[in-house]
Parts: sequence; C-alpha cells; structure tokens
Amino acid sequence: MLSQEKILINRPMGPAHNSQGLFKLVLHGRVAEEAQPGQFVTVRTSPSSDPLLRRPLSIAGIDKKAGEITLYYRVKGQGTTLLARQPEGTYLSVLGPLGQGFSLPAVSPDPASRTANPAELILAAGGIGIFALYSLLEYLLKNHLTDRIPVTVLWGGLDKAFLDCATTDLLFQLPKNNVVLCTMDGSYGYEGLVTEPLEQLLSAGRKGRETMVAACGPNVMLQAVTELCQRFYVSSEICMEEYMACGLGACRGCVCRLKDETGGVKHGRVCLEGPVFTGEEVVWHDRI
Amino acid sequence: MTGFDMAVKIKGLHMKNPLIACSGTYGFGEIYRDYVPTSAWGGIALKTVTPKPRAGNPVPRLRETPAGLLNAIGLENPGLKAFRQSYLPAMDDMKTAVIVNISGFSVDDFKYMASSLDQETNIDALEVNISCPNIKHGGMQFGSDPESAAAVVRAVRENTYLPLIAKLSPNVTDITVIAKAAAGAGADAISLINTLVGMSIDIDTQKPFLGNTTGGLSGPAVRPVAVRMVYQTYKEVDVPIIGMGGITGWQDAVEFFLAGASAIGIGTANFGNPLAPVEIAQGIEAYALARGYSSLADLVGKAHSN
Ligand SMILES: Cc1cc2nc3c(=O)[nH]c(=O)nc-3n(C[C@H](O)[C@H](O)[C@H](O)COP(=O)(O)OP(=O)(O)OC[C@H]3O[C@@H](n4cnc5c(N)ncnc54)[C@H](O)[C@@H]3O)c2cc1C
Ligand SMILES: Cc1cc2nc3c(=O)[nH]c(=O)nc-3n(C[C@H](O)[C@H](O)[C@H](O)COP(=O)(O)O)c2cc1C
Repeated sequence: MLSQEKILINRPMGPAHNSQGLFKLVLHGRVAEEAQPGQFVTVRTSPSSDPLLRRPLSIAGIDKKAGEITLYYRVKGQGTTLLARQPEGTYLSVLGPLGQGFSLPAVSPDPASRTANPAELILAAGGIGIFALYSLLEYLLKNHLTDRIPVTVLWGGLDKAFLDCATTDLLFQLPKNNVVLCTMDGSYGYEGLVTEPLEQLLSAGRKGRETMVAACGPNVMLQAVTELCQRFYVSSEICMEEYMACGLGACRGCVCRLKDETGGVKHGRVCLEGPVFTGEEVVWHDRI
Repeated sequence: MTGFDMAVKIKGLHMKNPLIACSGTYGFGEIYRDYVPTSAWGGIALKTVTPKPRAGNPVPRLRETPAGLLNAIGLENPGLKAFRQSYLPAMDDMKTAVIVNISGFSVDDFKYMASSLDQETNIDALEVNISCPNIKHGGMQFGSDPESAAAVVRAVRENTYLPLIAKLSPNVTDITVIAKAAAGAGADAISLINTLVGMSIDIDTQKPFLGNTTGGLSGPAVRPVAVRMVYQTYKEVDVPIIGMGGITGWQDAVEFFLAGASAIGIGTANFGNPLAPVEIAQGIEAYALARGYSSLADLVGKAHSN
C-alpha cells in the first residue's frame, strides 16, 4: 500500500557519543497491519525529484496492535541524510510492505501438517543485515517460540563500537550463550567473519537435524553461508539486496540469478520474488 | 462535468486522456494496479517484447544520478510466444488503451512481430522501439539512421493495420531527419524520447558502475533535451507526437503540449510517486480550465505561435 505514515521516532541509535550514523525510525500508520518479518518498505526522502527514487529499508520491528513499524538505517548518501532530518511528528510517504519475507515457524503447529517447525534456528547477520533479522527475532520472542525452538544469533560487525550501537533489547532477551558476536578487528567477541562460528555450530553434530538458517548481510557473506549450509545439509533463507528503482517488480532492475525447474537459470526480482530467497535456489557463480 | 475534453485520438488509437505509461517502467500493466487503477491512464505502453526471450544485462542495472536514473535493463522480456500465452489475455480488462512495444534485431524480426500481433483484438496500437540504447545489436542502431529507421517502420506498416507509433532515440545528430523518415514510412505517431546514453563510474572501485558499462538516462535531468526535440520535430512532421522524458508534474506535461506533443508519457516518475498519473491529469485539466480551453488541441504546439 501507499501510505502517509506519521514519524513517531527518528533519532540516532546507541549512545549519544557513538551513533555511527545509525538511526531508528518508528512510523505509525497502516503498513504495520500487513507487514511480515523480512519484508521491506520504500520511503520517499524528499517531495522534490532529487533524489528521484524511494529508498528501500527493511522492516525491523512490527507492532500490529499499535500500528507501528520500526526501521533502522545508516546514513549513507543524499537520501538517508535527508531522511535523518525529517522531524518527528511529520509524515513520510511509505510504499509497502513489499516483497516476500522469511518463512515463519507456526505458533501452534498443526501435528497433522507435514511442514513441521524447525528443531533449531540460527540467525546469521553481517553488519546492518541484522536489521532485517530483528523482525524475525521479534516474532520468535513475541510468540514465545524461543521457549520451544533453540534460537542462536550470530552477528558480525566491523568493531565493538558498531555492535554497541546497532544492538537492541531483543538480543538481551535470548540466553547469553545463544548470541555469538564477531568483529573484524577483534575488539569484541570472535575475531573474524560470522561464517567461522557458523561452521563450528553446524559441524557440532547438527548435520541432518532440522536446523534452519536465516541470514542477511553482504552478498559475499550470504554466498559463504549458503555454501556452508549446503555442505551440512541444512536449509537456509537469505535476505538479499540489490539496486532497485520501482521496488514493485515493474522495471526489472534488481534481478538475481535463481535455479529454474529445468536445471537452467532464471531471474528473480529481489523486490518482488525476494528479498528473501532460499539458499538452495540462488545461483552465485558467474553473475549475470 | 468538466468542460474540458481530455480525449486524444491518434488514428485508430482512442485514449480518454493524453497520459501514457512509458514502456519498461510499468511492466505489462499488472504491477501498479494495487496503487492506481489502470483506467487512470489514456494508455499503457507495455515493456518491450522481442521475438525470443531475453535475459537482459548483468547487475547492477540501475544507477541514480542527480534528478535522473541510468538504466541498463537490456530488454529483459519473456519473448513473443510467452507474452501471447501468459500476458496478452489479461489485456482484455485493462480498461485503458494497450500499446504493445516491440523490438528486434533485424528488419525480419520486426516484420514477424507485427504480423504475429496484427490480428490480436486486445491490442490498441504497436510502438516500434528502434531506440533502446542497452543492447549490443539492433535497438538504437535502427533509430540512428534515417534509412534503417524507415526500413523498420515500413516493414511493420506493411504487416499491420494497428496504429503504429515509432519510438525514436535522442542519441542522434538531428532528430527531425529520423522523425521525417519514420513518418514518411508510415508511422501514425512518433514517441520522443527514449533514454540518452550515459555512464557513471564508481570512484571506490574505479570501474564503470553499471554491469553494462553504459546505460540510458531518464528522469527530470533529460527533460529540457526532450522538450527541445519535441519542439523541433513538431515543426518538421505532420504526425502527432507523444512527448516523454522527465515528466513528474503537470507543469512538465503542459510544457510538452506547448512544445507540440499531442500526448505524453510518464515513466521514471512512477517509481517515486505511483500516483503521478492521477495528479498530473488533474493538474492539466485545472490549467486548461483556468485558461478557458475546451480541448487539448487548443494547447498543442502553442509555443510555436508566439
Ligand atoms: C531490500 C533492501 C533492504 C534494505 N534495508 C536497509 C535497512 O534496513 N537499513 C539500511 O540502513 N539500509 C538498508 N538498505 C540499503 C539502503 O536502501 C541504502 O543504504 C539507501 O538506499 C542509501 O540511500 P542514500 O541516498 O543515502 O545513498 P546513496 O549511496 O547516495 O544512494 C544512491 C542510490 O543507490 C541506492 N543504494 C545505495 N546503497 C544501496 C544498497 N546497499 N542497496 C540498494 N540500493 C542502494 C539508493 O537507493 C539510491 O538509489 C536496504 C536495501 C535493500 C535493497
Ligand atoms: C527502467 C527503464 C526501463 C525502460 N525500458 C524501456 C523499454 O523496454 N522499451 C522502451 O521503448 N523504452 C524503455 N524505457 C524508456 C522509457 O519508456 C522512456 O522513453 C524514458 O524513460 C523517458 O521517460 P521518463 O523520463 O518519464 O522515464 C525504459 C526506461 C526506464 C527508466
């Protein structure tokens, strides 16, 4: 839907002296009604034609009762700079919810259903990829699914300052051992990429268990995650990113390569058939 | 009661208003239906269809520039056969004029496309794309030279009774020469402009930003070029002109009518504002009423008479 949403909160994340250019944006309106974890919205950052295009942002939090969605964004260029200046209390043009989100474990699983809930969930995030996964984690916590399904978060960032800033209360609601943090510079947690602890987890006797991995981050990370998952026969869902113009599937700007039914390759639109795809269906080699 | 007649007739192409969704920005008309009724448009030009399916260009296919957009989609489309099977039947309830945009890589391709589509009853016009800058052969090459432009238009003309619109490329030295050739070969109308070839370089990687190296520029950045081309062409050819290139508000649309366009296309603006056609139609009407015009024809080409 195309909705004018009221800006309730638009402030830097994290401690005042360390906002890392990250902002929290809470919007009130109709988008929350239909929003699902893993979907995104596009927002118009200026009423003029410069910048021309809407900016895609993942839905990080959904409160259907209050009619609120939460987005987190990093100030990057012109569009997000303008967005950061939008005063609270004003209205923002929001298109969404858009795309296909993560498949969600059932809150009350039907024993007769053949699609059982996974025995275990691993959420793997790189950098601000955590924002898209927050919505999934929020769903799991809100519905008390974390009591029944072990959920582990693996999250890697540049350094401790980034993690401190981009973190939210959600992570503290998980048992401490179920949150594994990594930094590239070793200033906190594991030094290195999330794929290392992921490999350790997967190799520790999980092979063949109904483990499900949900991931969001840079393409190189997503590729490594899906390859690991395939090696351990674990299914995965990945949330992708690509430059987009319409955000609705009309312009075919944001395609990625997928396996087709006949063993060939077809295109999927990240905005419409994605942004969440199964790790098994994405073709990484020889970019189109 | 409006008192102002927005209807446009271009040969057999009857439109309730002069607004056309530009080819390539509106899919096959299905995408934006949740946001704007298709009936808001006078017509919808569908994404270019080619004889065979095309996978299109490597990503990134898009690069935003100041008030502009570079795209290099590469005519990704399902091909004529799948288009007829899977998409054409749905055109029955479009409630707007359906303009099928066709392209190819040889004169025979265009012939084949035209004769295959000629008998379809739910098509209101054919738009012949001899101006796509994002494919290696065919496309813009046909639109860069008056003889080949005429050869393509003639081939289509000889194979269809449908109203024929020739969509021209702005990437030429003198647009009026191509426009005259297309009109002379039997085009009922001329669409101006397709995108302007451009490129952008990523200063971090120090490589061209787009997967295709170059792309086509659209949006407000190209508008003055498009207005100039419509103005020049209006002087030289007698067939109606469909003006497009950077129209985002009703003021821009009016500018194109004054330059000589009988109808206008809205493309890139839909991406930022899906309600653009509704807002622009209202604005055109208010402008015309305020000045006491009774039909669009009163506005067309007015900038020439002063
Ligand atoms: C499905 C999806 C979800 C996203 N979710 C988030 C999120 O939750 N939080 C967040 O901070 N960022 C997110 N991004 C990235 C975000 O859209 C860009 O950072 C933002 O558009 C930058 O705009 P800008 O004008 O500030 O930057 P500029 O670099 O000036 O933007 C120039 C152009 O490039 C596009 N662009 C730039 N970076 C990206 C990118 N990484 N992906 C796609 N397009 C890009 C812009 O939209 C714009 O058209 C998401 C992207 C996608 C595709
Ligand atoms: C993403 C995109 C895809 C396009 N694809 C086509 C196409 O397939 N066929 C065509 O004739 N024109 C195509 N065009 C050109 C538009 O139809 C139009 O001529 C041009 O964009 C100028 O209008 P605008 O500034 O309103 O977008 C495309 C434009 C864009 C932005």
